[in-house]
Parts: sequence; structure tokens; C-alpha cells
Amino acid sequence: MSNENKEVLLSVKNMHVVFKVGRRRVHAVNGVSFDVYKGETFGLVGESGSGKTTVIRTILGINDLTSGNIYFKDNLISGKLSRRKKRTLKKQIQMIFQDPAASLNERANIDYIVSEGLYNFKLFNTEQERREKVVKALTDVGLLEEHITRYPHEFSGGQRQRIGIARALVIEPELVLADEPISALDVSIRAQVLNLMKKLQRDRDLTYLFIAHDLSIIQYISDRVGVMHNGYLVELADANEIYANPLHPYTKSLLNAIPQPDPKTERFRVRGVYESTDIHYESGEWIEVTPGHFLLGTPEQIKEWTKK
Amino acid sequence: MSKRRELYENANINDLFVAAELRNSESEHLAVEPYSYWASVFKEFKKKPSAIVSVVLLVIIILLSIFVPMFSKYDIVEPNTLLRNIRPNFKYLFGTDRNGYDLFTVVWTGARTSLSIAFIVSIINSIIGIIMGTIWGYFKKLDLVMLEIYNFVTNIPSMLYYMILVYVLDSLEISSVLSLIIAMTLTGWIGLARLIRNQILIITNREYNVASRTLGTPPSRVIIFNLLPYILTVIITSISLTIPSVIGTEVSLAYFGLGLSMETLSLGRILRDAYNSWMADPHILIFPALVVGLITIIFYLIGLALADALDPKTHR
Ligand SMILES: Nc1ncnc2c1ncn2[C@@H]1O[C@H](COP(=O)(O)OP(=O)(O)OP(=O)(O)O)[C@@H](O)[C@H]1O
Ligand SMILES: [Mg+2]
Repeated sequence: MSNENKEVLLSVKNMHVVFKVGRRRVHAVNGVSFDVYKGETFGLVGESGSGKTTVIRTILGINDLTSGNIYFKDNLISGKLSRRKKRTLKKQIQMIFQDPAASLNERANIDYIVSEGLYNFKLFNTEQERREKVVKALTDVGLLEEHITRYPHEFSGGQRQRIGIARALVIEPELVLADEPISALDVSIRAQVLNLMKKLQRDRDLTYLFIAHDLSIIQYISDRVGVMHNGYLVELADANEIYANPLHPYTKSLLNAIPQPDPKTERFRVRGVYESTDIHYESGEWIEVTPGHFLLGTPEQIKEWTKK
Repeated sequence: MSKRRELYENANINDLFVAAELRNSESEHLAVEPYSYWASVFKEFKKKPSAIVSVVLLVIIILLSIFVPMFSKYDIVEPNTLLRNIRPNFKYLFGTDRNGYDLFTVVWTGARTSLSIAFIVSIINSIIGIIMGTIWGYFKKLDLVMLEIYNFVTNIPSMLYYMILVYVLDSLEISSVLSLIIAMTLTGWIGLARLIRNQILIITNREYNVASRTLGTPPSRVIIFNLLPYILTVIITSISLTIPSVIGTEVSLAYFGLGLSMETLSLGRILRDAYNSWMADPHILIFPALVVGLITIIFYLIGLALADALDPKTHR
């Protein structure tokens, strides 16, 4: 499939985020650029501390952008925004959090938690309409009407995450940022929540920016994948392409880290240790090596990596 | 590369995860009874014998402070010298004091004054403390100014501060009860405000608050629904500890001859009067001291039990 005639929903251009911790400066995101197309799932993968959460939080305006630009539907959404514009954006971009135990207000009941966005954007005319919307949002994620009066601590982890999904989707956003939404869940219910997210995406034409530090999950859910390391985006391509034809050494090491289901291949799996000190990211350029397949590197490195 | 390609084409989601169907709604039912926060708080509170005993004692103390002074008014003008310093007996449960007054009546009359002042001061300080504390914690721009004020106020020794203030207020034409209340509420709220500010700074960056921000929830609703319920425990514990501390302050001030006027009978004044003669007649000191001690312990125990019961983690 060609990416040219697809509508770009979110565009991140040369994002830099620097945190000041005391006197130290932490360069958490370093010149990251990518587009997210309408209706797709864009997966962002990388090890812990690579800056994935910071990218998402900066898009949402929770962290300050140090330099660069962010566009949503061709409108600049970084920098100073009017109050009204911020509000509209909040309605259009929503987030699903990593830890369902921490991201729900323990002292509020499910009715209030799911209604929060409805109140904020006045998305109902009558009390009855609000309740109907809440019940619909709950049943859409497989929960029941009777749960409306319950409190978060009465639910299991998977149920709580579905409450979090209902809360984000009830206001009908277009873009959903999901920060490792299943990593805190029990292995037995991960697939259930992923399947639910996929189904909701199909039903509502949602766009996902999905974070994981595990390529196997990204492989299952994403159309395109960006690989992050130490605040840099090092490779970006279609999901199939990343798996079939990884070019960057770091991507290869991530792929090798996935345990293989087949015992024979598992035995021969190379658990390569990636030496990040070998590659100086700051001297690299962001180059499209084949259509839709981007790599960060110097021309010499790229020549070497793309050698067949 | 071909080996890997083969691998990924053969790989299947079921190899990576344990398969689980989106279960039918049957399994979503929660087995337990619907949860009500306040009912659970009550249930949890009732479980503690110390809390029950404290509440019963508190009710008795309050009833005695209301009704004893009402029904057994004693004549403050004419001391009865014949009845001085009688030991406790069935007629005079607490004995009599050096003026010949029934100590039982005297102590509960004083307790009425002291408890009333304590309740009023606690309520005023809590209201101001909660409002100032939430504003202080939520609006970062105020932080430096408020910290300066806090440091200034808390660096003055509190006894010295009360002495000066009570002295200054005494020169105004207001009752000594009112001037004591003003002295204790003028800056008395700042400790609770600081406590609430710290709590809010800790919890505003918790993920559920970030979630509210991404949903565009306005500050007023974040404060009421996200922040205050979480610091309710801190607030209630702090209130139940202020009550005995206000009584304690009044007692200390009275010891220095400050605070309430001579006509106003309070626990502080009764204790101060007793210091002179308690060696010969210990009951004059023991009974009022017991009441002060009891009030302090009761509020402390109730505060502890409430702190536990208000925490939803203890519910079931
Ligand atoms: N508010 C902050 N202040 C200072 N440093 C921060 C802040 N947030 C993140 N960082 C730093 O930025 C870097 C990237 O962190 P980030 O949370 O984005 O990584 P991540 O890829 O999401 O990791 P994980 O998989 O563990 O969630 C880390 O070194 C982190 O310590
Ligand atoms: Mg993260």
C-alpha cells in the first residue's frame, strides 16, 4: 500500500524535549519526526527510558516542547494556543494510560469517571442522555450497566483498563494515544484488551499511536512502526517491512530479543548485545532508503546497513 | 533474512499470548454487594473497640458539659468557707475546691468553655486551612509567597506569639473569649494549609490527575473530585488533633496568667488555681487534669480510627 495518498492526521516534526533536572539537562527526545495517518495504528517501540512516553506527553501538551513542531490535521498544535483551541484539541486527542490502577480516580464511581469528559465538553442535553452515553460506553467495552455505581478498586485489572478505554472513547476522539496499555495487565487478558482496541478502531475509524517496549505486541497491532532508542527515532517502516527487513542494528537487536515459539529456532536465536556506543546518533541523518522506510545514520553507515 | 521472514510469517498471536475470548457478560458480574463509600467508612469505624469507647466517652463528656452547668449553677459571688477542700464523696463527686464550690460543677462548667473554644477554633482553622492549602498547592505561582509567610509565622515561638497577641487584643474592648479565638485563628490555619499543600503537590502528578487534565477537567472540579477526597484523611485527622491542642494552648496560656479573664471559668483557669494547693488537696488537681487528659486521648483515638476508616484501601 502506498502512503502518499493517505491523509496525515498527526505530524511530529523534529521534536526535541529537554528536561532540566537541577543543573543537569536530560535530552529525552532528540529530533524525532514522524507522521501518523488517519485510521492507522502507528507503533512506537523502544526500551525503557528511550523517550516514548515523553513523545506522547509532549503531543498532549503535558510536557513542554523544547523545539520542533507538532501538527494535527495540518494545524500547528505546539506552542502557545488559545484556550478554545486547547479545548477542541483535548476533545480530539485522548489517551489510554499504562497503569489502570493509577489512572482511575479511586474515590469516584464509574459513572463520574466515564462522564468526566462528557461534563467537560457538555456533550449531553439531559441527565438521561448523559447516563445513556455512559452505559453505551461501558457496554461497548464489555462492561455492564450495573457497574455504573461501583468504584475502581472493585474491578480486576483488565476491567479497569476497559473503564479507562471507555472514558477516553466516550467523547469520541479521533486520535488515541495509548501508552503501553496492556503492559500492566495479566498475560491472560492482554489479548482480550488488544482485540477490543482493534475492534473499537474498526467500528469508529480511530487512529492509534501505540507505545510498547515489546516488538511482539507492536507486530500484532501496528500498521507502521517507529523504533526509538536514547531519545532518537532510529528506524521507521511498515510493520511487515520492519520484521522482514530490519536495517538498523538496534532494530535487529530488538527483534532478536523476542523469544521464538518454535523450540528449534529459539535454540538458534542470536541474543545479540547492542552496543549503542558504536553508533553516534547525533551525526546521523534521517534518510528514506526505500519508499516509506526511514533510517537514522550517516551515508556510510546507511550504505553498510542496506548492503545485501 | 529469509529465515526471519519465514519465522514471522508463521508466527501467530496465539503463540505470544494465552488465548482469551472476550468473555460474555455473565463473567463481568461483580460478586460483591454494591459499594457505598460512607457505609464502608462507618462499618470500618465500628470495628474498632477503642473508637466506640471514645465516641461513647465523648458523648458523655459533651452531655455533662452542657447539662451540669445548666442544672447545678453555683454561686460564684459567695464562696462558702465551711465547705472548702472537701474530699470527694457521694454528695460532692469531685470534692470541693478551696472556695468551697462543688468541683464537679466547676470542672464541667470549665470544660464547656474550653470545648466550645476548641470546636470554634478548629472549625475556623480547618475551613481557612483547607481553602488556603488547596489554592496554595494547586496554583504554583503562589508557592513562594506562601512559603515566606509560613516560614515567618512558624519561626516565632508560638507561646510568645500568643502572649503578645492576647496582650494586644486585651487592649481592645472585646471579650477575652473572643480575643483568644482571634489569637488562635489568625495564623493557626497555616499548619493545616501547609500539610494540604504538600499532599496536593504529591498527588497532582499522579496518573489519574494527568488523565483529568487530558480530559480538560477545570481546576474547580479537579480540586473537589480528585484532590480533596484523597486528603480527607489528612484533614480529618488534623482536625481531631487540633481540638486537644487548642485546649492545651488555653491551659498553657492560663498558667502564665494570660488568656481568659478571671470571670470566665475554663479548664486552664481551674488547673492554674489548683497548682497552689494541690499538695495538700490532690483532688483539686487530679479531676480537672483527668478531664483534660481524657479529652486529648479520646480525640486522638477517634482521629486514628477515622483515618483508617476513611481510607478505601481498608474497605473489605
Ligand atoms: N519530567 C521529567 N523530568 C526529568 N526527566 C524526565 C522526565 N520525564 C522523563 N524524563 C527522562 O526522560 C527519559 C525518557 O523517559 P520516558 O519516560 O519518555 O521513557 P519511556 O520510553 O517511556 O520509558 P518506559 O518504557 O520506562 O516507560 C528518561 O531518561 C527519563 O528519566
Ligand atoms: Mg513510558
